[in-house]
Amino acid sequence: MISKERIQADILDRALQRMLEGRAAPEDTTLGTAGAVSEVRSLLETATRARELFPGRSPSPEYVAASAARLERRIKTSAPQTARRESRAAGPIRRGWLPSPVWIAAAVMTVMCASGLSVTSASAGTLPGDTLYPVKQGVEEISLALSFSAAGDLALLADYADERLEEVEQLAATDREADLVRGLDNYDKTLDRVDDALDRLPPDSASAQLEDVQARLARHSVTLLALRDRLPEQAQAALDRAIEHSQKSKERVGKLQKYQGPEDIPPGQEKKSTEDASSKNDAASPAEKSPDSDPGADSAELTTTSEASKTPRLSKTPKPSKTPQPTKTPKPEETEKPPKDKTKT
Amino acid sequence: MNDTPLTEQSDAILVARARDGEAEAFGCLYRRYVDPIYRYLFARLGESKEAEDLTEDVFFRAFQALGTYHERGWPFSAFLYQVAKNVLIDYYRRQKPEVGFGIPEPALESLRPLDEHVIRDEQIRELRRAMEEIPLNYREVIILRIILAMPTSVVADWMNLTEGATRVLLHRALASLRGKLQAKT
Repeated sequence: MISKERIQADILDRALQRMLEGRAAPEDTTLGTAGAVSEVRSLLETATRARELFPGRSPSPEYVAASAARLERRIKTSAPQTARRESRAAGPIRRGWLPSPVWIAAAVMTVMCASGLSVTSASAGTLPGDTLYPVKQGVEEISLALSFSAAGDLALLADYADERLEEVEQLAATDREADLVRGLDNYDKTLDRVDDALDRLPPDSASAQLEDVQARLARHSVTLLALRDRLPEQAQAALDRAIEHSQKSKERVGKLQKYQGPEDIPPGQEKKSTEDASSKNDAASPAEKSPDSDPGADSAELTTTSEASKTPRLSKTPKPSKTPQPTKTPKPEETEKPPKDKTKT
Repeated sequence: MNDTPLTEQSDAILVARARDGEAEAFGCLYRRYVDPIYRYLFARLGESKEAEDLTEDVFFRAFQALGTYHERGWPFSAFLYQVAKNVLIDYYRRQKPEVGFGIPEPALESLRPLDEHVIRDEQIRELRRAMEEIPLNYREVIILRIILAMPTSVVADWMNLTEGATRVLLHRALASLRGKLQAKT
């Protein structure tokens, strides 16, 4: 069942494409009913206004040449940060070192155990900015260091992401704004590590674990979105980043669930698959069905093979022989590249 | 032995060569994508000098983060876009919160009478305020699809959505922007 909104969105996009290509406005008869004509025309006017007032500007050829030379000089004196990922991929045991919080926690644990206190109970409820918070982090690092597989890391890190989010919620109820931003940053960093663990998962990973992680991330998005109105302004940027990251990580899990290998699935179909996964997940989290959440969950049917294949793309596909000259980089809409094999049905 | 010139190599090959420390390969990727990244940053910032500085920053940070880029159907240009968004977040963090959406500098050729400039500046301010009031993903899709005139398929890649989802998002974004503009008049 295709909704009225999706039909209008499709019509609007076609009309917009004509406008951007400088062609005449589409005939009213192609826009559907009188109501649809009025709506599409009104939205096109808004688009035209935005376009007129925000003219695009390309960089000057002088800037491109000078900047390219500067950039090449800079990167010749540095190296891509692949070492961190490689060491992580080697696994916690083979790394041969422990992160510093582990040593801190180990030292504190020794002292505290000697004094008869339970480290876990002492630090469990702490929040960023609390004196014992590093102990809590250290204990987590120890557990992580004792995990021997990517799946084990992922299970722990998913728990830690839940914990970080809970800390954010608790801090949101206080006036500790700096700690709140730190808490959101901690959540963001934990998701970085979740992403990292996802990348290291073997191809035959248990789908139940991925489903669990995806469901958790969906809940995180909903929780974070609900916090938007409650957080102070200085925390909004960190919140936006956290929301975006949780959604991206969720999509990443969706891709992994469907991913069979580069030769098995054309790149374009991954998104459709991801969307299917999101749709299933959306059923479990009604808040994500709001118009502001990913609208793709109910709109994939509109995408046609013919449309996908006729659109020029900026993509990873090999460049054709008509490659633009180095000093004159084409605008995206001018870039003539072969269309991707992005067939969606 | 691969005799294909660098400029005709695919992104994947150039990325692999850049990972091995070949600066020229990354320079080629830079020339391939500097235009859309610069235009995106200029649309967000409205200042060419800032856009130039940040564009270079984006590519340098992208080079440093090449180890974290995994292709898997995710175009390199979309990876650059993510880096650009992160660079912008850092930039805004260093700025005052109200510096969110710059008023574009007038084009040199648009030497209009003063009152026309005043009216235009007011319209831009109005639009800017409306853009700031709509959700971030609405803003992004309007910038990419309307202001930068990117094809829906590219916008979909950059925003990690399907084309259908991108069209629906754009529809909602324009309706939201129209609502905000109408409320101001």
